[in-house]
Amino acid sequence: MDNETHKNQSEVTALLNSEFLTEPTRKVLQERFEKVGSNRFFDDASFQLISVVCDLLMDQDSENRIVNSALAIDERLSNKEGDGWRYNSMPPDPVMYQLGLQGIAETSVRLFEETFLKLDKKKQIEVLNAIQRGKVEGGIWKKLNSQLFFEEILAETAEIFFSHPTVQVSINYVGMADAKGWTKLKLNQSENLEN
Amino acid sequence: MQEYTNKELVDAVIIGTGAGGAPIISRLAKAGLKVVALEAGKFWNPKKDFATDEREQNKIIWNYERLSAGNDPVPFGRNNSGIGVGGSTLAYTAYTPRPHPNDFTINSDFGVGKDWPIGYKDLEPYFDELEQFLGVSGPTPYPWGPERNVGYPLPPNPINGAAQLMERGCDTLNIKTSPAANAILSASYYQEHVGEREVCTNRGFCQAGCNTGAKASTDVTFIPQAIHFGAEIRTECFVTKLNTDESGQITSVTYLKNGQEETQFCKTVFICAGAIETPRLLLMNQLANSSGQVGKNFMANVGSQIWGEFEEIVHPYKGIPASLISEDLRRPEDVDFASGYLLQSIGVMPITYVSQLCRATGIWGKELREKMSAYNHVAGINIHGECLPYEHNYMELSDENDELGLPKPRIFFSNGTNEKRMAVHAEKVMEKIWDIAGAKNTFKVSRNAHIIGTCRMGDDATEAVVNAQGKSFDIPNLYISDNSLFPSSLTVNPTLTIMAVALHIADMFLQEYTTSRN
Repeated sequence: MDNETHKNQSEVTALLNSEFLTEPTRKVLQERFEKVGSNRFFDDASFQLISVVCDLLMDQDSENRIVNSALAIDERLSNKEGDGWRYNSMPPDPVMYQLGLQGIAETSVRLFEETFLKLDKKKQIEVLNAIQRGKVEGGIWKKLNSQLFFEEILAETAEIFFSHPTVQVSINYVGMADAKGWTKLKLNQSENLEN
Repeated sequence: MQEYTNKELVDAVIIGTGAGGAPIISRLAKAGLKVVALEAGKFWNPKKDFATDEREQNKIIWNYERLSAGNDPVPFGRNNSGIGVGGSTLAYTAYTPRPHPNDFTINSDFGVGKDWPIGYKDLEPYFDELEQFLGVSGPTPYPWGPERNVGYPLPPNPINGAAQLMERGCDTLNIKTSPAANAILSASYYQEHVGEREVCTNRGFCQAGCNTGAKASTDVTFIPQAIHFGAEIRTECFVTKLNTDESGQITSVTYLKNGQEETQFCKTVFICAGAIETPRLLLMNQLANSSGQVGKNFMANVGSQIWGEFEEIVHPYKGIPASLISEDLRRPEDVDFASGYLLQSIGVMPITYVSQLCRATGIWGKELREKMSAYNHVAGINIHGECLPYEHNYMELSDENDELGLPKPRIFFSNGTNEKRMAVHAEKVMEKIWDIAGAKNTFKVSRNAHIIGTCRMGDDATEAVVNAQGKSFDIPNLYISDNSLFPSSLTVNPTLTIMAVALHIADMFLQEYTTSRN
């Protein structure tokens, strides 16, 4: 899927430079499109692990990644930003992420006697499935609800991933190109850049 | 803009500039009172500051962390709590159905919940006034409820893809639908002291911030009016303390601005900070709680959704997200629950959609990518249903502090039997509608929307926090005006009623104020 997504780079650049984006919108998307950075909150090993987990959640090839959602998670946690709420049964986000990653490492060893990053993709998916379904035992998961942890990391990863202009264009979303508004609201009607 | 010094004894401090606060700020300023509004967030310039990007627009969401407990923990922030001049109206869909007379009498009618100490007749003049002032676009005559004194000032907005699909399903099932009433302009609109507001461009971004001024958030309606009449809007002020004298009256309000404490002296305080921050401020200060009701009776309207994929291209980001309504099931017959619900169509922006999709269905990886590739064919339908007040639903102060050093609120919420039965009923109806409309791959999102209650108004000081004029039973110069004082959650979206109650409170206050001065 991602090879196709990568092919749309020229389409994305054209969209970002088009007259259909307001200046504030262009600024935000251009910055996100060009964004590079490095981990500040997670240590290198944890960052490598969460990056691969995020790739799996979004079915991305880690060698050919479009968006590293882990970078935005790292940035949010190091800036101590929240989103307005958390489950009362869960620890604060920085603690939840640290514990959750330890839990992934533990579960990997328990199921396959191997570290997560050394597993093949199929086994990595099995580890994540076990965590999502609560089919985990002991260790970290005694103090952290694995299903809620999975829900949290999945929702945050997806929100970041689908906010990237390249990914948005790949699902034919052009709602950001609204500087001139929309006039054709009937079913099956398209206008401007719409597909 | 008029500015006052902290030392000056102003007539009123209003905490919060959303639907509960802004009408009071404007009304009191117009009457010539010295008014200072304290707003925790910024005064945005939507044209320059707002991007059509949900992630960026998280800046208009109240992001101070709340702890969600109970069997059905409520997600806070997006869709129920805003920050900045305009408060939650920055993020509301501007759905403005009127409540019906029997929305205020649920206990008399069903023997559950709580009646209001005021009724439809008390608020009717304010509904009339608000619809004209905000520039509500809607059908005249409106198909449900009592006859109106005046019609909507503007015709309805065009209906989007999701609405056309809901119309299709409902027609076959003989469920009457209508374009909704929204405080969003279907034509440009001039108001004195506000100026000309432009027609809506159908950009579908109401919940993440309108950048054209077509949506009647308070920052483009009541607040400019209030400033014209001499009110001061003081931004980035987080109120922490209500200071009292020996008699128990409030003498001043202390707030944090740029990390420093400042104190404004005042004769009267109106707390308009919403169903969580209002009781939180009172509990932190241990004030106005002789009834023990501060923080109690937290409600969240039943808001179940059904999403489906259609053969047709829907482009769910276009048009007013909630553009079709049916009130036929507001008081359904032969059901096993009290009250009822509205049916509403929903368009959706991609991040809101994917977030709900992940949390509700748990799909990820390849399956999620495939599901999201159908985004342009997605449409939703949801309900807005009554939630009863229960003892088991409340907010309290936790022992965990936020970044300002203040205790985070913890909110317990579990649906009761009435809400569960209503959701089951509604889901069946919505599934039928979506089936007929041609939906495939449907999924359900069980949720509760709109936060209500926690500082109930009533006639009895032992079981309510404020009286029918919004005045504290304990502190004569303290008022509350926001969704926290609702004794019941109503079947309709709350904002129009919050504003109407605010105007009622302002006028009652001014009447008393004028009498005492003469």
